[in-house]
Amino acid sequence: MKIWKLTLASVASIGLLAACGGNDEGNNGGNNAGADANANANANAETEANDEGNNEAGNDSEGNNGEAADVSGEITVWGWNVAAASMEEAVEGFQEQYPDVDIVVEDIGREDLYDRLTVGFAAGGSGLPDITMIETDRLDNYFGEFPDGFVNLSEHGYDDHESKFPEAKAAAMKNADGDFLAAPWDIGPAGVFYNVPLFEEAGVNADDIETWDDFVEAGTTILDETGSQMVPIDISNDDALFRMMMNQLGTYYFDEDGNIDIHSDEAVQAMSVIQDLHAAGLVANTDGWDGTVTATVNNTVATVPFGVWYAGTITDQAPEQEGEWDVFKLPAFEEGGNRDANLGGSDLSVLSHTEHPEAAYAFVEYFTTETEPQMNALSEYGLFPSLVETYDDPYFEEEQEFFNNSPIWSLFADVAEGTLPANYTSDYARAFRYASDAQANVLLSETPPAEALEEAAGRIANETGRDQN
Amino acid sequence: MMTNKNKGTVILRKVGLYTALIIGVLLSMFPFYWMFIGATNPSGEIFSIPPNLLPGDHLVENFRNLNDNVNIIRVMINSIVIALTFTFFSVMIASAAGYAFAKYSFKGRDAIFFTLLLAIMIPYHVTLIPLFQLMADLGWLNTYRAVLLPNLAYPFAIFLMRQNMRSIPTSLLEAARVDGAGEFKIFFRVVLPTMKPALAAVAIFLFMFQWNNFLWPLVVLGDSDMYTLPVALSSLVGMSRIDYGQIMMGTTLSTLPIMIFFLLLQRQFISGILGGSVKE
Amino acid sequence: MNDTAKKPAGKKRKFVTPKTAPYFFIAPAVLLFIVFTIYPVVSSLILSFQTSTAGVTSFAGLDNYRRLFADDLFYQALFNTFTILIVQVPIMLTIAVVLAVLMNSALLKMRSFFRIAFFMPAITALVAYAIVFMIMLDENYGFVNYALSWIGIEPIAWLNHPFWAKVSLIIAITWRWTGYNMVILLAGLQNISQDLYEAASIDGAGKVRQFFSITLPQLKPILLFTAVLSTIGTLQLFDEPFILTNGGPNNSTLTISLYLYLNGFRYFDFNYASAIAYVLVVIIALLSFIQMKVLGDDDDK
Repeated sequence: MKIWKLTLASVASIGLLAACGGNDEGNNGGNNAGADANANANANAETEANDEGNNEAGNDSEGNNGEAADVSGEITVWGWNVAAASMEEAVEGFQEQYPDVDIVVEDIGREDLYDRLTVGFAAGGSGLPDITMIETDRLDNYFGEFPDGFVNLSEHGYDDHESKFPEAKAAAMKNADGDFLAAPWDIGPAGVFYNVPLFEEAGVNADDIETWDDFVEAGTTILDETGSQMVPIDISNDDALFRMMMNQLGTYYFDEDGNIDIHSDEAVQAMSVIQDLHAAGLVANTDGWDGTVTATVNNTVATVPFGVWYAGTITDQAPEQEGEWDVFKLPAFEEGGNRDANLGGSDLSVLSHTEHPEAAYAFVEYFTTETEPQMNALSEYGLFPSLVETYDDPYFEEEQEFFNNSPIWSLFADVAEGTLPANYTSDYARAFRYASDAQANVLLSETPPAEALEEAAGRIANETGRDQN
Repeated sequence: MMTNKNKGTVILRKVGLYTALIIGVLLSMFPFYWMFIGATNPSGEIFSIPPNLLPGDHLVENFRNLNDNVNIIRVMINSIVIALTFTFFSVMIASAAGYAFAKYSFKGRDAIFFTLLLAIMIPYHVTLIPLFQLMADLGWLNTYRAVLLPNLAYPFAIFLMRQNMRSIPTSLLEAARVDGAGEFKIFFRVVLPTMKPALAAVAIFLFMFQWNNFLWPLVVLGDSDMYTLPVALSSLVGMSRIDYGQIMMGTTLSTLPIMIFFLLLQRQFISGILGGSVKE
Repeated sequence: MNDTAKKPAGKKRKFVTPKTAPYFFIAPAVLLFIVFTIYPVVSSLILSFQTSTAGVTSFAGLDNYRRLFADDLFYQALFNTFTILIVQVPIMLTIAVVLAVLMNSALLKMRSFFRIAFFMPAITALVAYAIVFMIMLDENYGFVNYALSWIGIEPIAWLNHPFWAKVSLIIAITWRWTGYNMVILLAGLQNISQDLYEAASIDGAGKVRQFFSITLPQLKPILLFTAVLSTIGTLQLFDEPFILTNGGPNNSTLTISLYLYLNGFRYFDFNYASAIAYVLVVIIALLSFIQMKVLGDDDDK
């Protein structure tokens, strides 16, 4: 009897709620999200007609870049977290130039965004936004498998902006034909974040650490004096330090021709340093992102070599440690060697099924090439611009209270400009995984670095048909 | 009747029984307690050593932060509506089908039933893309239809209902037929009322499934106003800045409705699940 | 949506005879099933016989399957999955049976409370589960190692050691699903006639002997049911390795479903991913069939 009452009650409530839901959808016109749903419904009703319309619109638009007055439409943008927030904040400035373009930024978790993007591409472009954020190292993956999914930004004139970005960054935005399929946004110039009190307690001076050998030595002193280890590594899941080191040495998983290079002498050298760090007991094996953050804020580790974006994480997760952090450049492999590398960074792409390629391009162009939104993203959210002209902004020279009153932004700007390019390729995801396996093999099973990296190279070759160097 | 000696062993057995069960409960509930602690403390507390095991005073603040990022009330309502709608229709479909499979013999019955069972074995990732394509072709992306329909004929539920329906005495059905009742009337008036426990059991399974269903709603729902709880919570876990207090608040909230649902139906559930198959 | 759910009302009685009625009853389920299951399954099956480079699809015959049978990572995934299956399912079901028997004791009060407490893990949202376990199992500051340090045990690299990572997965899955199985088994226990036990008592059989001579045989169909379900669940194991270990370290917790996901959603090789899926389906079907034969399907027919 009870269950029937319950069922009846739930049916009744479903009916009511469903009715409400229906109304909501219809009445939400004023709200962007609702309008979007309606637009979708309309689009679907005349799918074919619209599709043709799109293609034509796309063709017409060639070469006709940017009379603000003509450009209109509603643009949906996908991004995650603070990046989404910084785009949201740029809308106002954008609309001063393009009053007829509405921008709706949807904040979607990073992994979730990729899953949706992948499913949408695989299903022929359905359900995708007009613009999406993609991380630099994943671009080739998408360009390779879904070449028709992206609007060619070069056809809209993005080539004119090429010189505004570091060469390494701009190179990563292009497909095999040299066309821009993405616009560069933030980058991750790398540095070593270090815990000032721990360094002081151990009597180690950060300025004296110039090579990785110095780094191991300093680490040993710090471990002896304070009990803190030197670096956190998520051994089996992330090879971030390995990638930064390879980038320093001018190599990466693949060489500039796309051949497998993960077992090069330089890569072996890099992995050997990591092995040394681990052998000296200086590596805190952290579990995932949470573990790394915890190790950072708990004094488990004295340094964190990472991309510039980690500054935001530290300020956020350990506000009470203000003034206790500082940054130095990655140590070199030999005295006077290259200390610049990059880790991470993201970009904006316009997706080819968009109904308003003009408007979408306009937003991407505005956001990535104007200093105002880029500076706002940096100062509010710690997203480091790749737009070189921003580095002249006085903000870069400002001393950062949180970071021991050091002007860390100018240090990172310096790193950014000296970073060597890396060829990520469409098989980056595989290589990344097998490199992490190799790292686990070296550190946890004591396999010699050369052997582990050879094995990774062999596996990548097997699955991708690429040549090994 | 009871001798002193017996009384002693009874007490001893009681102590043993409760000790074993309470240890089990502690193991099983501890992560929830920990989650609740997380929801009442500021974000960084989750990392503290030694671990903080006492509730803090950030409950309201965490809720406010969560609500700033996710329209939590709206998302809860979405989830509840979707899960209840799904559960209701899915239970009806499963019981009708289960009844037919259990109490009628018809051409193709075993083949169809076996095919349904095979579907339990298919990993869901593999149908994701064709299914998404289908929804796109139908123009149903970003609708609740797309979330609900694909799993509405839930093979496991049909299987459970069939097992239970087999316990209905055929004589009961025959008697109703003799009285001139139509087949549908028999189903609604005779069969379903005797199946309440089974319906409750199946309803719990289905509600659980839909409540926690994540990947499919994530890909088909574009609009953050339409998000379900798991999708909304997942959007809080990003790359660089995670507010654990907020997330623990959200996850605590997300377990409440399903707990209530289980509480309401559990008595039926326990006597209902698989009741039929055992009696035979 | 409503059209399929509403049955044609009883008014059309002429058509609805005991002969035709079952078709009306199964119609909604079958229609939905054809459109939303059969169709995607068939199209992904077709995918598994194709290959795609740079967005251009072509027929590849059995190439994907051939590649699969020469893929050492696939065998590794198979090995891992079966290792977890063979260890975890018996442990979990044993605990579940013991708990169910305890819960069925006449001496127990507050049964509902215990039932909910044990069932709770099965209804947690994945996101919560992920974060809570990640942090609790952390080698350096996880609660688990902290608690172990009280009894003098050195910190264990729960998620970062090839052996302990598997153990962690087994613990996590067991935590999540034991109560669920216990509730199902408890339902089975409550259906065993008390007469059987009384008769056995009169014959002088002790509790333990009653358990083996009455409880277990009577519980067999339900045990089979939970065993088959758990087997399917473990063979499709995805959430835990995806969240907790990402298949690592060095692929020691890579499961078949995770490998499928990586190929499809990380490497964009949907064709290969589909091939993996169908090999998995065949394995599951075979195994379920064997389980039913070996344990005996008293329940059928």
